Formats: sequence, C-alpha cells, structure tokens
Amino acid sequence: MTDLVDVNSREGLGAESLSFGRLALRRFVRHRPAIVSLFLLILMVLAFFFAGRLSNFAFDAVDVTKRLENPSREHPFGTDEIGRDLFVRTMLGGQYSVRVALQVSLLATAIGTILGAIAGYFGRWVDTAISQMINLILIVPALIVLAVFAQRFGGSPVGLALVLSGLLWTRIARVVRGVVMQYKEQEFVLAAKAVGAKPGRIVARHILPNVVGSVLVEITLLLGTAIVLESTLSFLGLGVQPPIPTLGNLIQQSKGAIDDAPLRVLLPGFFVVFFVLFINFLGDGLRDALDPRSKRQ
Amino acid sequence: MRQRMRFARLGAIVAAGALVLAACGGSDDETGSGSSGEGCGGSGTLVWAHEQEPGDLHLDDPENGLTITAWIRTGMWEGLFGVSSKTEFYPRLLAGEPEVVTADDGSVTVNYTLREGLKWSDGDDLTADDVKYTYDMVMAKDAADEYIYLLSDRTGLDTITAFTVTSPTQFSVTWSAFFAGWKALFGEVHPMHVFPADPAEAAAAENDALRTWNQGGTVLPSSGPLVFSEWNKGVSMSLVCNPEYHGSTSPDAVNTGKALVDGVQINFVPDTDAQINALKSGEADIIMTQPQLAFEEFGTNEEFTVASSAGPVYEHWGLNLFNTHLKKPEVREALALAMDKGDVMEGLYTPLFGDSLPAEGLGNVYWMSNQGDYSDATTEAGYGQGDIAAAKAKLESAGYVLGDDGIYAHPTDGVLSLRVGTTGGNKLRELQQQLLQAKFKEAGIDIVIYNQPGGEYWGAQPFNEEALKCANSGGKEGDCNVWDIAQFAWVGGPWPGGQSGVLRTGSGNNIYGFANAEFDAKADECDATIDDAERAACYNELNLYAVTLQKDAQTGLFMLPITQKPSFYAVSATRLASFGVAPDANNAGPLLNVADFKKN
Amino acid sequence: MLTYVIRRVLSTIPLLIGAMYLVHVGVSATSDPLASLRLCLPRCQEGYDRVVEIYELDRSIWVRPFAWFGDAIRGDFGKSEALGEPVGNVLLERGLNTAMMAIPAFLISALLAVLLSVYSARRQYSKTDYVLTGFSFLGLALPTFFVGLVLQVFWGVWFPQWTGMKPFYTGSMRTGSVLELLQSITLPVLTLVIVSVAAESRFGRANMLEIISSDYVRTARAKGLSESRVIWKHALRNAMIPLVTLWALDFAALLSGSVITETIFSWPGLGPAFVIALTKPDLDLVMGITILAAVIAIVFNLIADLLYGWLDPRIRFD
Repeated sequence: MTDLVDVNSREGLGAESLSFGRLALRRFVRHRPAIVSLFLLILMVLAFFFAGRLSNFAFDAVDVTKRLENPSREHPFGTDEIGRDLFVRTMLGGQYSVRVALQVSLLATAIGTILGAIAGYFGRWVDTAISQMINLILIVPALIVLAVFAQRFGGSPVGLALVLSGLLWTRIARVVRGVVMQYKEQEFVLAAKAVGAKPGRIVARHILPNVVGSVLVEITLLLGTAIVLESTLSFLGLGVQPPIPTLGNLIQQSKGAIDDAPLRVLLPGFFVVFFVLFINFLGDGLRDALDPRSKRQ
Repeated sequence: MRQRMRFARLGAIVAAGALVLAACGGSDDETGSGSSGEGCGGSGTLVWAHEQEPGDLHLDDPENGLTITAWIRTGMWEGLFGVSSKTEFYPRLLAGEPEVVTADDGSVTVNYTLREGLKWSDGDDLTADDVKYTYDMVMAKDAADEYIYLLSDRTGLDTITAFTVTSPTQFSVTWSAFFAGWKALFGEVHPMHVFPADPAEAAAAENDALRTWNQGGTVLPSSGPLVFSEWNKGVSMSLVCNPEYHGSTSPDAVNTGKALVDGVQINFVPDTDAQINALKSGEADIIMTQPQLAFEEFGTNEEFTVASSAGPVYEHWGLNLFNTHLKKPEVREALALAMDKGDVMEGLYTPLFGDSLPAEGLGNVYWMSNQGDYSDATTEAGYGQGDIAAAKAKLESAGYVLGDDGIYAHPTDGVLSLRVGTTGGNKLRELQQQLLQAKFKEAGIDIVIYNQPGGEYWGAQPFNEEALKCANSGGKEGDCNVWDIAQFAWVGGPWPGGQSGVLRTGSGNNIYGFANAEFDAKADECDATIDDAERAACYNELNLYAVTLQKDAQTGLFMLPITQKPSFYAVSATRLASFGVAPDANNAGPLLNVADFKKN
Repeated sequence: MLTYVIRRVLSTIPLLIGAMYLVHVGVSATSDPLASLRLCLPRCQEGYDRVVEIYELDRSIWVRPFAWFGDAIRGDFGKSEALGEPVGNVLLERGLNTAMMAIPAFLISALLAVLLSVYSARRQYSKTDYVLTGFSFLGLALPTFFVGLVLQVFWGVWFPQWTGMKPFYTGSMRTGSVLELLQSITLPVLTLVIVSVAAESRFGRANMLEIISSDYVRTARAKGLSESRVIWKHALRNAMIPLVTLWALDFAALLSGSVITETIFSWPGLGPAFVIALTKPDLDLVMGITILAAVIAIVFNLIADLLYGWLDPRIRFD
C-alpha cells in the first residue's frame, strides 16, 4: 500500500542528533529557507484562524442561487455546488487540517517517545513486546487499520487524529529506542543509577535530552505527513465527514474540476503544498542546525 | 460506490424509467439498416466505462446485489414484459397485453401470446416451453444447493395453480387469487434447450452456468440484442451483436431491428473522475456514473451530450416514530412544512438534470413523478415548500419555545436537535443533507449530520437490531434512540404494491415503527384489486398514510420524500451518431436500448 | 547466517497469526455483509439466512477467525465472493499485475533517488539544490490521487488537444502488444515514481551529506583521489547502506498493491481488489491479501537486514 503509508516513514533512520543550544540556534537562524518558512508558516496559520472572520459568510451558509461562482470580490475563492463561500471554507479547512496535523504529530511523538524509551531502557520482554507491536503495525496493511478504525472513529477531526497517531508512532519509537539503548550503558547514566535515581528520572533527565533533536525533526515531518494522509483518506471516503471542511476533503470534493475549473482544486491544494513545503524546510533547518557535523558554518 | 437499495427484488424486471430526451436529436434517421433482418452491427464497438464489475453474472448470488449485473443481463435475456422510460410495463416477448380472466372461485387465469418468430441467438426457436421451463426450474430450486435460492424469488409464483402450454406461442397461467405484481414475473425467460430436462438438474446446472454465462463450454444463447463474448476479469467484458435478434418493442426504441454497433465493451473503471477522463480522452463512448461537477461542464460542451432520466429510486427522510420529539405529530408536520424541496431541486438537481424531475420535488412514495398515476400529495398538503412560519407555528402549538440560540426547545423533552444519518461518501446525498440542514436551522430545528460510511450505516443505524426491536415492539423493547432520521433511497417500480411491505405492522424492514391495522387491511385490499386504474388510485390512498396526517393524525407522516434519484449519463457526441434511452434502474441501464446506439 | 534466517522466520509466525486474528475480528466488527439484504427483508429472508450461514454471523466475532485458520492451514484460502474466483487465483493474477507496475516504478525511483541525492549533496545550498529539494517536497506534499488525476487529465485531455497526439492510454490496462502495455503502464508508473522518489531522495541527500563530512571521506580527499571517485566510490556506497532499508520497505509496499494509483488508472492489481474486498466485505479475500502483504513485508524486512549486513561488514549475524 505504498501510497497509503506515511511517506516519510523511513526517513531519519540514519539521522543522529547530538548537542543543541546556542550553536544550534545560531545555525538555525542562519538557515535562510528555514527562517523564511517559519515566518510564512506562522502567517499561514494566522490566516487560517483569523482570515475567515473578514468574510460575511458562515462556512455552512448555503445559497443555491449562487452556486459554482468564480472568485469575486464578495467570494474571493468562489462558491461550491450549493453556494457556500469557499474562502471561508478553505480557511476553516486549513484550521481543521492544521489542528489534526498538530494533534497527530504531538500524540504520535508522545506515544512513540514513551514506548520507545520504555523498550530501550528496560530491554528484555518489555522490549520484545513493544517491538512486536511495532512490527505488527508494519506488517498489517495500513488500509486495514484505517478501514477498521477510521471508518468508525475517523469522521470527526479528533477521532481521525487519534487513528492516525495510532498508525504513525512507530518510527519515533524506533528512533528513541535506539538512542536510549545507546546511552543507557554510558558512564553518566550508570553513575546516576548508582546513586539510586529512579528509571523515569534517568530517562527524562539524562537520556531523552539527547533525542530532542531527532524528535523535533520527526514532529515536523509528521505534520506534513498527517496533512497529506488526511487528504488521501478522504479520497477513500475515510476522512473527516462533511459539513466540516478540511483542506483534504476540499481537494477531494473538487478533484473532478481539474480540467474545467482548476482554481477550485488549486486553491486548497496550494495551501497543502506550501504548508508541507514550509514544514519540511523547517525540519531541514532543524536537522542541519542540530547536526554538529553539518558542513555549513 | 453506488448506493442502490433494492426494495423489491423480484429477480425480474423491477423497473426502468427515462424521459425521452430532447438531446436525442439525429437518431430518427437510423432505423433503416436494422429492421430488415440481415445485417448486424457494422458501426464499431461501443465502449462503456463503468465503476462496478460483477463478481459473476449470477444475479441471485446474495453477494452480487450489483446493479451492473442486472444491467448486463438486460441486454442478453428478455422477459415477458419490459419496463419503459415511464416506468410502466410494455409487452416485450409478448405479442400484446394478455387477457385476464376471473373465475367464480376467485382464481385468475392469464392467457399469454408470444410474438411470432422469436429466436435464441443460436438459432433455436424461443417458445412457450421456454417460459414453462423457467417456471419449473425456479420452483424446483430446493433440489439444488448453494445460492440458487434467490433465483427469481418465488413471490407470486408460489400461488400458481396451473401452467398450460397450448401452442408454441400460447400458454396460460392460473393463480389461486389475484397477484397484483403479475406483470413483474418472468422478467427473464431462460433457454430451455441448453439445460437438462429435469427441473432440479436444470436448476443446479443454471446455478453454475450463470456465473460465467457458459454451459458445457458454450456461451449461453441470448434473446436480447447482445450475446456474451468475453470477460477479461478486472479489465473489461465484451458483448457482441445478436444476429438473430427479433427487435425491440419498447415505446422508447427508435430502431426496432438489430443492434447497429458490432458489440459493447464494458471497461471497468473504478474511479468516477477517471471515468470522466476516459470519456474526455476518447477511451470511452458512454459513462453512467454518479453525478458530479464535471457533468455540468459536459452540458455546455458540444463534444458531449448529457442525458438524464427519472428512475424508480427515490430519496427520502424516514422519521423514527419513537423519538421523543418525532413522536409528536406537530414536530413531524413542522419538519414537512419547513423542508424546502424546491431549494434542493434548484440547487442540486435542476442544474444537473434539467427538467426531467418536477421542480417541487417528489410527493409520493408509491407512484413516481414520471408515472401516469402519480399525484403529489405533499405539495397539496402544503409541505416541502420551506414554509418557515407555518413550521414555527406548529412547533409552538406543541409547546416548543424558541431559545436564544434560535433553536426551539421543549420544556420537558429538551432542545429540538435531531440527527440525520446517511451513507457517507455519497456526495450528492451529503450535499442534499447539508442543504436541508441549513433550511431547518431557519425554522429553529437543529439538524446534526450523523453519517457512517457505506455498508456500515445500515446495520449501525436504521437496521440496527435494537432499533428494529424498538420499531417492532411499539417502542417497548430495544433501543429507540439509535437513530432519529434516516436519509436513504427505496426502489419503487411499475408495480408499487411491494412498497407496502416496508409500511406494514412489524414487517422486517419497517424501520419507522409505523403500526396501523387499518393501513394493513387497506394494503391487502389494494393488492387484490384487479382493475389497473382502481388499484393505482388505491395505492395513492396508501401514500397518504406515509406522507401526510390525513389518514392517521397520530402516527401518519413519517416519510418525507425528497426526489427521485435521476440517472445520468454522458456520451461522446463526436463518436456516436445516435444513442438510446438508458434508464438507471435494475434491469435497465444502457444496454436496454442498445439497438439505438450507433457509432460514427 | 542460515540459523539467523530461520530464527527470524520462526519468530514472526506468532506475530503473523496474531495479526491475522486481529484483522479478521476488526473487519468483522466494523462491516456488515448483510447491508443490502436488510432492506429487502422479509422478501429475501432465504438469502439473508444464507449469508448469516456463510459468514457465521450468528457466532461471536472472536470465534469466527478459527474457521479461516483451519482452512488456511490446509492450504485453502477460500473463495472471493466479490470477484467470483478462488482467493489463490485472485492473488496470483492481481499480484502479477501489481508487480508489472511495481518493479519498473521501484527501479526508476531508486535510480533517480541516487542521482538526485548525489547531486543535491554535492551542491548543498546551491540554487539547483533548492529547486530539486523543492520539487521533492512537492512529491511529498501532493496527495497521490491528485498527482494521478493531473497526469490523466494532462496526457488524456490537454496534450491531445494541443498536439493532436495521444501517446498514452489513461484509463485501462492493455496487454495486446508490448507497445500497448508500455502506453498503458507509463502513467501509473510515473505516478508511483513521483510520490516515492521524493522521500527516497531526501533521505539519500541527508545520508550523503553526513558521509561527505565524515572523516574517512576527508582522508580520501586528502589522499588526492579525484572528487568523482570519492563521491561515487567511497561516499555513495556508504550512503546507500541506510537507504537499503528504505528501499526494501518501499518495494514491499509497492508489491502489495497501490490502492490509489491502481484505482485511478483502472489497473487490476491488488489495490482495487483490496478496496472491493473491504467494502463488501469479502472476508476471505481480505484475509488473503493481508497475509500476502504481511509475508511480503516480513520477507523484505529480512532481506533488508541481510543486505545491510552484507554492505556493512561491521554487522554480523551470529
């Protein structure tokens, strides 16, 4: 199911992260694409949350006498088949998409980090159990998981976020598990153990700071993945159900108009593409900034 | 995925319907070549891109409830009666309307006469014995195993007391009592000569043969315009012109001879946008798909012709009579009053389908608007016109008070918020839902959309076990809060009496919880009425129970019919010289009038 | 090494059984084989009862998978009701169609990914690097269905309008001749390449960058080896090691069917069959495709690990 899985899923396997701090910050600030992307991202998200208020139309106000209108002053993005304002719907759709993406990336990161750390730290049967769980998600086709869970819970934005996080946490878990295993035998950890620190504290204070870099990069990648995946799911009828708009279902609903009214597809598509573009540049900047061996000075 | 609810699955023709299209111009000059009897085809292969592929051609396989199977078979096997674009019966294999004779003991005998010169595609004569064989085989199905059980559902056949063949073209059938749906029987006549003589063995043989349309290594012979040729699973199916075809008698047919195309190739294209692209890019000549935006553009493009027709499938909102709010007749009437069907038609249907459907929507759950006996009971009652003031007055008369948020609330039953569910993923339905939702809000009624994807919806909502228990026990058992309003389609047809099945007390699929002994008695009376006109009027009376409060002021009015589901197809105007009426109904579709298609 | 392989294979068996059980239960719990029959009751009571019998709907969903397991052990994967053929045949026919598309798509995207990552890494932060990176992001950002439909409209509608030529078929698998096959397979393969090359080349670029700045590459340079020799011989080889895992998983995913690409281009592969199986639901077919996909995933994971060890002499399977 190559086009259904997380396209970034195997990325970052080789990425390592070490120190961060001022040096990293300086490197990040000098990474021009990342800074520009961050600025534009903020602008875009602000637009999603506030631009809709500039319009006089509600996202679900229908007017069949004004269906399928082209962009005009009144309706900057035109109207849909039942005369709803597409500007307001696109902005609200962006809002829901960003929300879903944020929830997915935070939740998946949280699950992945916790389970990965537990597996890496305790090893033995705990590791085996968690690793088998990861393998289970790897071998069961994503479509099945989505058909079973997204069908039942995925109709609402929150439900969809839960289902997608359940599918996307494994990569972070693998990264964190590896790092924790690598560090748990190091002297400073053994020393902390010797003075009687509790496992939770050791992991949180001494080991996890070492994965913050990789995890930050993962979060940005997940943000992009979640937005695209949400759209792909609506193609299969498994996404957020109407009348709630998301960028994904707006594209899905107007995909038939590529030939006749391309603007209808391109407008929400534009936001998805640029959101993912900016997010990825941001992630790149973070990766470069957090990698001490980066060539850039 | 096409959502088609089969209400009356007679395993025979259920229905068909299409208004003759204004767009059909240019087809009058086509008749010459076919009717003379020698030529077959000659204008190339018609390519039809369609989303569904049947698993097999055994229509009665419960796994194969696909419309496409019926559509494909319509082009190959004809029956005694066909269904016209007005969703009315016409004699298809019969020479004319048969004579109906009533005896003193209440039994009814029909004397049938077949058309002269009927032939199967392998050259054998099609005679009255083939009809008798079909009857015997279906009645012997118990002897066969596996899924032959649905093979022509025996409703109406099981009350036959005598079946006599008097000559190759004449036979008579006697029923112990009048069966109102008699014209729907024998919607397909099976070829006796290729199957074993013993009915039970024949049933078993057919059970296998029908899956691949092949008996003992040879393709099953056809009586329709097309003969099965080849099936490349997952890709396409080919049918070829039947050189022995005796011509169509459909009132919609222009060409009464053999097909003008060499054959039909059905390409299985699962994605609807891909179908549209196939038509645009010349890889298909006709598509018949779910209506969507791109179709509107076809309408203004000279290279394509879009045609629509009113089929027997109708959309409605079904109300749960045991919902706290909906149990009050005032609330149901308020919904009926506030519903703006004109808005739905103007917004969703007229732009796509022109005036093939009435602008005020559908007002009858028995007769459809394109049928001669249709009457619009809801408009007469003042319903379905978005009468917000009247709806509000009704709600207030039932003790509802308008809240600050603009939504009515009842002092004891709470806020007037109702969930409406349907099968998610059906775009037209979803839009229709959202359109209505917006209008109800104006009337102070909060409608919450509560959809579930495809197949899961039925079992989860209206046909949920607990919900059905509630409906069948008069609200005493089960869970009455599983659903509030269900939006879906039932199938009407040329014989709408079957519709009563869902409204009778405690019937398996009476989801509404309607129970009225007077209605049940009246329904029996209607079905026993022999005179066509009287029976039609009787069905119109039954309709009043379902869609108004006239006949039952307490529990009537639990169906809000919205519109017939129109069918929709687009053909390439540059590649086709003419095309036929293609009604969207079971046992209809583009192949019903395939003889009218001609390629350039 | 053989013992390693055997141990790995044996350890996945319980996992596989668990997965199949959960899939059966999950699909039974969220689907309704009686959906269309409910509406024609009581008329089709016989059919209703029959479906209840076929799918053992009167039994608990936790018990139902066992019948499937019993048959599967004996090598009987049942019959696909939706496609009217034994599941084994469906998997074979559809699997071959999928492979026909997956293999070229994989080879092309792997080659492109290598070239792009070498180029981008050698000229990091150059204008071309930004453009290439930007394009690869585009591949990540566009939903597959959108890429497919745009290609379909472009080559099926726009290009013929402009030039009067229609080089590709846009909506069906044609196998009449090699030329026809090429004409019908190009666009779906292109779609798959566009969506998979993005992730691969970005990953490759990151690895290349890491390797290029590593000590031994600096040593190689210091020894006076030519830049192209350093890049192609020393750096690339090492950068490919982590990429092998990604490739193995990508190839496995491609081989188990691309739901969206195959649906849009009406390619009769495993993807559309899976969708049909899930919507019906046709449980035997669902289970058949799941087990095939699971086995492919397991095998390719194993291959990836073995290749990894072969490429990286520091890893040994003991």
